[in-house]
Amino acid sequence: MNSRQVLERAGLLIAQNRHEDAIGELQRLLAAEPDNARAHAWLGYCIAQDRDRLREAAREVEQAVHLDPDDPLVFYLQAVICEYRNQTGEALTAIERSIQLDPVHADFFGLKAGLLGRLNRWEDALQAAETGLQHHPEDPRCQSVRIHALERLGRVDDAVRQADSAVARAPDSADAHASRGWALLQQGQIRESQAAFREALRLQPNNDFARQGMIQALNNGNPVFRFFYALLIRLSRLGSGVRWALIIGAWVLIQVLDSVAARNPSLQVWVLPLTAFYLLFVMMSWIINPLFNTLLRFHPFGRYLLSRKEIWASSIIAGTLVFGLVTGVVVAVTNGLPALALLPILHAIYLTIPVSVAFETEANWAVLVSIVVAAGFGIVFLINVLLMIVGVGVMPLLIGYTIGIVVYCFAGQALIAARPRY
Amino acid sequence: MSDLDVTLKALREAVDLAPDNHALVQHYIRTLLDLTRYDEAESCLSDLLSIRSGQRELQLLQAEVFYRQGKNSHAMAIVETISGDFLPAQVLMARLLYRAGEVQRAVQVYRLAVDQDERLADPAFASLLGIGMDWDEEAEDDEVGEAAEVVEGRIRQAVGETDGGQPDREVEKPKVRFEDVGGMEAVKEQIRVKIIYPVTHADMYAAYGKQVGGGILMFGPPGCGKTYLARATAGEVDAAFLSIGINDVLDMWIGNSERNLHEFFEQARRNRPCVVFFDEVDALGASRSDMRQSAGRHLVNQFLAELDGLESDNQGLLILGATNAPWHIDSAFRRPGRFDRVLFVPPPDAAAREEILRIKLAGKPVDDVNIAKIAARTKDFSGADLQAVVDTAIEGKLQQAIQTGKPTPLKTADLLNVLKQVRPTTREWFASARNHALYANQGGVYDEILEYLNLK
Repeated sequence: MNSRQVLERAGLLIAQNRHEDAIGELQRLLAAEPDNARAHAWLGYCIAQDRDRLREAAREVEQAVHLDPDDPLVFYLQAVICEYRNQTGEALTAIERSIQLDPVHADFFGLKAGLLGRLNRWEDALQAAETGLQHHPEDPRCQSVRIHALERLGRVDDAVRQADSAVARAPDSADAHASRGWALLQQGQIRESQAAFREALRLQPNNDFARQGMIQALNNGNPVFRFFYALLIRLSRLGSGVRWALIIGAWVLIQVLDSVAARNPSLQVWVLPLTAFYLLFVMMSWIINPLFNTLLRFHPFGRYLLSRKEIWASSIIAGTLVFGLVTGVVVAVTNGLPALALLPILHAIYLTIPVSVAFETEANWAVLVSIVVAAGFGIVFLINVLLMIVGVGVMPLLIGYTIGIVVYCFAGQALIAARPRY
Repeated sequence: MSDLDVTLKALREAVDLAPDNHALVQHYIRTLLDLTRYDEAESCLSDLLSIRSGQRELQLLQAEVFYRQGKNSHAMAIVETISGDFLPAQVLMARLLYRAGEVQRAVQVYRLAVDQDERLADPAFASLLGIGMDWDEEAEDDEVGEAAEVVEGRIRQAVGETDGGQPDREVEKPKVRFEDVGGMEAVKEQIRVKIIYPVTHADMYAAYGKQVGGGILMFGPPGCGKTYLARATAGEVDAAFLSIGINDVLDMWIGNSERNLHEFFEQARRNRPCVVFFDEVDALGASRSDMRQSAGRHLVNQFLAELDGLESDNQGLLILGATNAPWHIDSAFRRPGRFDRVLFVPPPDAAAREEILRIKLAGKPVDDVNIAKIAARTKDFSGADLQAVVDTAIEGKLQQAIQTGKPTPLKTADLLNVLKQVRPTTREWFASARNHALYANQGGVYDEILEYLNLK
């Protein structure tokens, strides 16, 4: 059997998701022809399916690049493996190289568009996807990135139109249905988006993109969720600079209003609800998903959708809130001051922020740090509550706790943004 | 309103004014179809048909709209009423037949229509059917020098070294019987009804005019005895056993041809009664819509034709298939006469695990091992996993014996210790299967998975 046939065999095995078998074929080929660049590249790709062996995969594909620096496919596979390793910059460089070598391949543009999307460069992503579609008008990845990019750029109606046509062209593609579901969700068509996600899951039950969408679509059935979700989506479409300016600006404004109201009690009626809303909004931006996932667990279809991690997150956050409520009552009763119940409740609500950070971090070190921080806040919270039950004044500790949470709101963002590098 | 919408509106008005102008109507509908505006096309046609009922050109257009939307049965219903002597409808019928996996009939219908009117020929479709096409164009391979020929939906490919067909593979007569297979009573009973009784009570089946044949598709997590069961089936009816695995299939995909598959079936037919076993049948019968390469479709179609026994008689051919991924198998495989019974082979239950452990531990130095206790602690373990448990425990003992120089027999505690390290491999499979059973359980094929997972 010649090398081309072995590669074809391996390609078939890969197409059927039998990566282990393909590795065997490729290794046999490499034993006979150790300088076959494509075999090295495909071997890297197959190895990379096992997320614990990404480093080894990268070595294989580097060897391939070294052996044949003029093969666009080798660079494409290098880009794919870099993407798996969260090295988006390196992946972009590699895919640019393969586009240089073969400028008419839609797959390359699809990957490039996806990578640009990861960097939140949606204008560029849209452009790359459209270039890809010029070469192959039905490339599924280009289509779905285009829909996603249009939606992120606020052109929701365009996104829905594109999604409709993508589904009409490829009615068996789970990705097309899922993309359409997301677009419809942003347009506020909750029922239709649920139907689209259901179809996507029927076609490809293990499609995580569709599963996530279905969770969001079901949660959107709740008007409270829908309200905050719409606000958060709008906010996320702004550039990150504008977004932070808005959040910090609002916080400063609230502080100013609070101090004005403190001097001028007649304004209190207006300022208090505003402060409460701001607080609620900030809280929701952190815990909206785990909180409403708790409700989803009583939904006949929804309860099967949540992953183990999501179930844990929702349990712990719901547990924290219930614990806050109970200790609030205990504190109020032991001190004979009903208003005092608010303190533990409020602090339990604050505590959900470090807890949710711990569930959203991905890089190993960040997970560790966030768990330690969450545990630290939890212990301080417990000490606070115990002291309050005994009736000891602990004002500095309470203020320190609150300031700590505010600071962690920013630090937590950095932890979540940290990507694991393999 | 965009330019496009204006143009379309003008066209629609023109159509309303002159509903008898076929060229115009056809142009309008085709434009809508190209724009994937199926709903508009459908409503326009139903308006037109309400005033001009019985016009077969319009009906054909309507069938085409259904065809493009994938509403195959709607399209077929229309085409069947008008295709009598109306040739364009016959071409559409051929397309529908092809979509339904009935390639041979598709070829027939298409041939008939094109022979009478050459203008109807569609080279792209003809090449899918394998009519009058030179295979070399697609193979783009000169170095091997394959000369290939595509005939009536099948590729006949002559490859230098394998010319003249594959030598017969070894036909085996397994000695294993059902009683050697631990547990799995439900699965065994199904196989008995479908496969074994028709052979052992052939006269009774003949008296009732029931044909012997058809197949069973077994699916379940890896390592749970599907292959073993197939072998035992052959042993039970004292039949020949021919098995085809992933590597044989790969050879069929590449370089060699559908002819190998045909040869293989012919060999089975020569050795009647014969149990034909396809391991990892999803590799052979992957969903045709998943396949981009048309070569793949040819092989799938050939497989379907062999299962149907169109050209030859499949009497006495017992077909078993096994797969870990039934969801990847083309639904055409599950039609009556093909793999019409789908069986779930679950991981062994406690009794079966006890049986398996007893077999695995036989002949090894054991000291009063409480097999029932181990079996109770190994829920979800496959037969292969249990083998791993025993192997790991033995390895530990060996190491210990070499270090201390004093061999000690295997105890219950040693096996229990190993259980802490070995995870059942079936869990991963069930994680994926669960989603398929929850979201894609058409016709209740995967009800047994839901039952096993207590989700029902």
